[in-house]
Amino acid sequence: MKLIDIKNAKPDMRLARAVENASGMILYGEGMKLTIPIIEKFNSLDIDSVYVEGKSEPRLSRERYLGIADIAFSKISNNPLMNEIKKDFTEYINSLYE
Amino acid sequence: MNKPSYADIKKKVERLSSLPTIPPVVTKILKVIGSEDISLKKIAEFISRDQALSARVLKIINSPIYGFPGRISSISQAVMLIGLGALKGMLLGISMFDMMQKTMIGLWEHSIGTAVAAKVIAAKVGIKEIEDASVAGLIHDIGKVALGICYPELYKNVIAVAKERDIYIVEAEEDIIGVNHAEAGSWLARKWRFPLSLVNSIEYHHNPSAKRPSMTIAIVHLSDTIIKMMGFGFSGDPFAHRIEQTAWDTLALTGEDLKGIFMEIEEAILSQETSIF
Repeated sequence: MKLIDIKNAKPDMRLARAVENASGMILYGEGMKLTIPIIEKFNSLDIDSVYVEGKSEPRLSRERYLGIADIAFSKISNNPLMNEIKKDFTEYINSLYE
Repeated sequence: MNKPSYADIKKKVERLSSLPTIPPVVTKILKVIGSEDISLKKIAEFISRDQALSARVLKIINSPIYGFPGRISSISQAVMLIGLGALKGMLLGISMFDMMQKTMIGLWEHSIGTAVAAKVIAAKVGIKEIEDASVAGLIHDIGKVALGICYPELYKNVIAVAKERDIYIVEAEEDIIGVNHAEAGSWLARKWRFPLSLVNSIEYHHNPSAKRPSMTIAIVHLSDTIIKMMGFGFSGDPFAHRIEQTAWDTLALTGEDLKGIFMEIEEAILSQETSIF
């Protein structure tokens, strides 16, 4: 599932979460395939973003993410809890590139 | 330049809204935020009179920082959903946007990122006051802006020294000005009669154990560190702060929870990079 800006919505993408109005009423259900009229309708309703199926491209390269994390953790590397958090973060970053 | 006295710093920070360098529109917003008899209705009227401000409020309230299920299209609806305390905080964040950019490049992104992270974590741990946590994330570093406005030359020096000596910005602030941003921010939040949970989140976001950490303090403490690890924005130094064990225990998150949190934050950042950031 990925959250996309409505500008990047394209026909044939599938909604991964229902689109609701402010009162929580479902306007378009989960699994619905987007079409040009539906995307135009989102624009007319001022809907900025929707969840669609699929995986986002990572924001940074794996090396960049891990390099930033190494610097971030450099002053607290002797702390067991922080090492655990860093391990979880590294596993998460690696999963983005599998 | 000599270090100002503690009492002088406090006095100057608390009178921030009357400084000549504050743009008139911000002074107006700060006056509304600090007014004793302010109500949701009055704030809604004030926001609605200013088109640019209305647009900013609606943009933020419809962003992943809040995650309301559908599109919020009117200011009156927005203020009812978010509540008075969180609304005052959001207005403060919005009004400080330009000054955040001037104080430190990347601070607005760091603040927005922390707000998004706080929302995601608040939803994960299941607290009711998700909007309060988001707003606390948005304005947790407001003290940096206050110190930057009150002492522009000294604060430039703070940023330079933190970089040269590879130290935390908090250490450079204490060394050069004598007060850190968490304390300075809490003075403002108290003066503007923010809810106590917001005041405490600003004051204790680096050392939650100094106060028995509430859920909101613990959330902001963790969000601040996560957003630094994820390399989003800049808050004066690249170093994560140690998560205090008491705060971690308060949140009771597992490693799997954390991975889910990283994923949701990243998705929110990716989806909104071109609009609110």
